[in-house]
Amino acid sequence: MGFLKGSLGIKRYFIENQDVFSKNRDTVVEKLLRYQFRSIESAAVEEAVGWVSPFRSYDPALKVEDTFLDSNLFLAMRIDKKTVSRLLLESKVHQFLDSGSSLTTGKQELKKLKEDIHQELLTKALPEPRIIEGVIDLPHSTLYLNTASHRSSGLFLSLFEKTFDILPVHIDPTAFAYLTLKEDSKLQALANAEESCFHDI
Amino acid sequence: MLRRVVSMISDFVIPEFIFREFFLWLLVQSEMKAGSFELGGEYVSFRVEDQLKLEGEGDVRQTDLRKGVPSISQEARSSLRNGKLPTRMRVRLVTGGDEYIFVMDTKLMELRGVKMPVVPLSEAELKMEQRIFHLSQIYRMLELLFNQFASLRLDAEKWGAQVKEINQWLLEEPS
Repeated sequence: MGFLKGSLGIKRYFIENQDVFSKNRDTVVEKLLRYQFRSIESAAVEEAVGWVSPFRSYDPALKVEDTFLDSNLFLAMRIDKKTVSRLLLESKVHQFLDSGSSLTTGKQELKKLKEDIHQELLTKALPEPRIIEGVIDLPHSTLYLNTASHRSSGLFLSLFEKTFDILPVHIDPTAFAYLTLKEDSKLQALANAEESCFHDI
Repeated sequence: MLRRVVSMISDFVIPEFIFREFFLWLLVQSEMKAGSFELGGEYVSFRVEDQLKLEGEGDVRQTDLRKGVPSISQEARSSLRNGKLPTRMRVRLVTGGDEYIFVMDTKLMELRGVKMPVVPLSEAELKMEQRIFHLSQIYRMLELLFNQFASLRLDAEKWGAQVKEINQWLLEEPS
């Protein structure tokens, strides 16, 4: 389910300095293209992340019209992950050893053999793709990230920082309170408040 | 303003119990007022439905209530009387004819399972505009509710009366 339909799991962030987005839109897309998604099919790579078109998850050729939707900046990060099952790896290693094609005996040799077979299996494994979407509400300097996963949000923020040299600030409960109350004195009073007793009745 | 928020975050930390008390206040107020809250001159409906998690301090005691209206259940009141406070709840919020359903928690104040009114537009640009508007509406309502809670919470006399009211509600038998 994406940002445009279905239910959402939202994390909110501030974009402290959004000068980069208020300049030329082409420049923003150029920055995204520097970190566009690159396929890991047939490669001995376990994971890859990169930007894709929010409307075509298979397409890393980003366009301004897909990215800027009126006053919102729409981003989609694709994560492809390949896994090799431990059982398959063990089985292939044993098959190789039993075939007598190698006289591997030492620990280091066995480790190297496992790594080689793991790499070979990785090239044959199909990646499992996921898309993490984010929308920057530019007038309110707010990034909405549509994921409940901390790992995915971490990957998104890391890619975002590499791309734009900006690290969004998470709106945690304290920041939520500050945005609401807007006064240091009230915030300080809440921070120093003592717990109420509701159960001693 | 944003820079101030960033620097402020490192200066203060609002303890989680404040948000647990906020959730309890919301829960009890919504039960006592049939879900009706006056926020910024308009009436909104705020009901806890289908999911309510209550946790105690210290050890790992927790109660997970699901389905129906858990806030009025005997288990909910019993857990609250035993010192547990709400840490996660599923909410149905209605404002200006728009209905929102979401799960919120005290630890991160993040929203999950957010359902918003269907936007009957095919153009992505307009649809996104509407979806962002709906999201900001949810946060605006939550901020108004927290503001109302905080003004009570920071006034010893008013908060004392609220605690008394909540404790009385806890003693009542669910209808």
